[in-house]
Order: sequence, then C-alpha cells, then structure tokens
Amino acid sequence: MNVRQLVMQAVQLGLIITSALMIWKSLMLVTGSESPVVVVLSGSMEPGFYRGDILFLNMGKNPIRTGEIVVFNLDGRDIPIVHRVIKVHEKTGVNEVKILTKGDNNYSDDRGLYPRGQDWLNRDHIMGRAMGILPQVGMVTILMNDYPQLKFALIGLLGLLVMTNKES
Amino acid sequence: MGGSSSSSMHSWMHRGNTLITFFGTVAAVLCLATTLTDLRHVYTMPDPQASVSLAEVKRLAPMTGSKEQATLTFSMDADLRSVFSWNTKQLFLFLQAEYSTPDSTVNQVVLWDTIIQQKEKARIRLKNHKTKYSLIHPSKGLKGAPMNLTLVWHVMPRVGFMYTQSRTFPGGRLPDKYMQ
Repeated sequence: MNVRQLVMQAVQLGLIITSALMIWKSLMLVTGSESPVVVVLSGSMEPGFYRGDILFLNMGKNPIRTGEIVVFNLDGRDIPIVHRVIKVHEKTGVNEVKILTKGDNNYSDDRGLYPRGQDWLNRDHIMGRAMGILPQVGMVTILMNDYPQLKFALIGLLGLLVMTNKES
Repeated sequence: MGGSSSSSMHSWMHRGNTLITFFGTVAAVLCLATTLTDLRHVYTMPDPQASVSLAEVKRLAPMTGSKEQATLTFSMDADLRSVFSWNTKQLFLFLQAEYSTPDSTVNQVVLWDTIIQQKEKARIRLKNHKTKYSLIHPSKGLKGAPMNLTLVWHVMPRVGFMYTQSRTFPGGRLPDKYMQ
C-alpha cells in the first residue's frame, strides 16, 4: 500500500515535469524560436515594456523589417536583449542582411552594446520577434533569480503539495 | 503521515493552492478576453488618416568609411485617434525612408519616431520638420535613389497581441549630385 502510494506520487511528479517540458518544446516547434517566452529584464523599452513583463516570441520566415521588436543574442553575452529594429539593409542577390537595433527608451542605437568592431546584427543573431505581452507576471522569475532561496522554497512547496495531494 | 496538526496544515496548503489556481485561471481568461476585444477593434475601427510628404533634401554628402548621408525635412498630417482602444498602452509611431540602390534592393532607415500614450495626442501635424535621425547609407548609392516614406504605427497593448499598420507615400528621387 505504502509502496504503491509512493510510486503513484513519483509518477504524478514525473507527469507534471514532463508535461511542462512537452509544452515548452511544442511551443519551440510552433514558434520556431529557441525561447518562445522571455522576461524583460531592463527598462530600455519603457514605457512599452517594463521589467518583469513577459513577451511571447515567434521567429517566422518573413524577412526582418524596421519597427519589429526582436530578441537577439550577442556573442560573448549571456543575456538576450529585447530592442526595436531601426535599420535594415538587404544586399542584392545574396542572402545577407544588416540590422541595427535601438531601445525605445535609449538615446542612441545599440552599436555601443555590440562587440567592438561589430556595426550590425545579422539574421543569425535574432532569436525571435515579440508578438504579445503579458505584464508583470515575469517578476516572479526575476525575484527567483535575485533570491535563489525563494526558488528552492517554491520548488519545495510545490513538491510537498504534489506528495500530499492524494491524501485528502 | 497523520496527526491533526499536519493534516490541518495540509488542508490550509490545499486551500491556498486552489485559491491561487483559481485566481490564475480567472486572470488568464480575462487577459484572453481583453486581447480578443482588441482583435474586434482592429476590424471595426474607422480608418486612421495619414499623409506624409518630403519637404526638402537639405544635404547629400559622402561620409568617412565610404558611407553617404542625406539630411531631409518632411511634413506630416496624421489622425490616429481611432487606433486607440481601452487596451492600448501606447503607439510607437515612426517615419522611415525606404529606398533601393544598385547593390542593395531593400533599405529601411527610421528617420523620426515618437511615443503616443494618450488618444488625444494622436492628432499630429508637422510642417517642414527636421528628422530625428539622419539618413545614413552604409555604402555608396544614395545619389538618384528612388525613395518612399512610410509612416508606421506599432500598437502596443496593456496585455495581448501587438500589431503594426502603415501608410506609404512616394518621396521622389534623391538628388543626382552631392549637395552640401
């Protein structure tokens, strides 16, 4: 009886984890973006996006155009940046595009953020385009990053809930 | 397990869990409903009005690094008040030059932008206005290039999907010769 219960609980926990993983992976497939959801970490797009807002991304096959808000990864930087495209130059005949970005709340374009000697982004830097916004919900992950103890407490609490779920 | 203290703690935790789940579900449904009203707004709103014209090319000159730079002024008359819905946080309005040169077919450069947060401020008239950013092309090719001016507004909601609308206007050809 006790063994059975323990196995049940383990299976249930596994089910939660795998379904979360499945949802994430299917989102990756559908959106074509390696990270379909991002949390805004800085105020450089205020007042459009605030720290803690969640953005839903989509990659899509269409060419990048000015005015789109893209998420890009720079070489040698861990954290992706969410900024607006302000310049696009597509070379004739070859599949080569030059992209320049800027934060709505910044005075100058992003050349100062790019690695030394890099004036443009190309398609490979872009991880996705912002399609939708959910305000403030991402504050939870920011808090969990800032205070790792909170993360463990939450995980522990969730685990406890799952483990005791069948008893009531 | 067992014991009255631990089971009461569990029931307290389960109540909390149920409450949070319920709150989350209601919030998600409300957010979804809100963004759906925006979808309806997009299809039913009166057409926004806009017209843009190139006022003058003040300067067309080579820059270091074999770049080229043009300085222009423009005039604009736009009424985007109908774009605002109850869920609109702001419009990011910008004007861009679109042109093609022999070695690059698609070129888009933002010349001017503004953020509009209130419906009443979405009525904009500018005459012979200076651009905020100058038109810098990364190589040669601006001389005689055909150009369009496109006014784009990116509608950013409080919650839900974002969209853009735009109007394109002919901007003629850039001058055939450098002018200081």
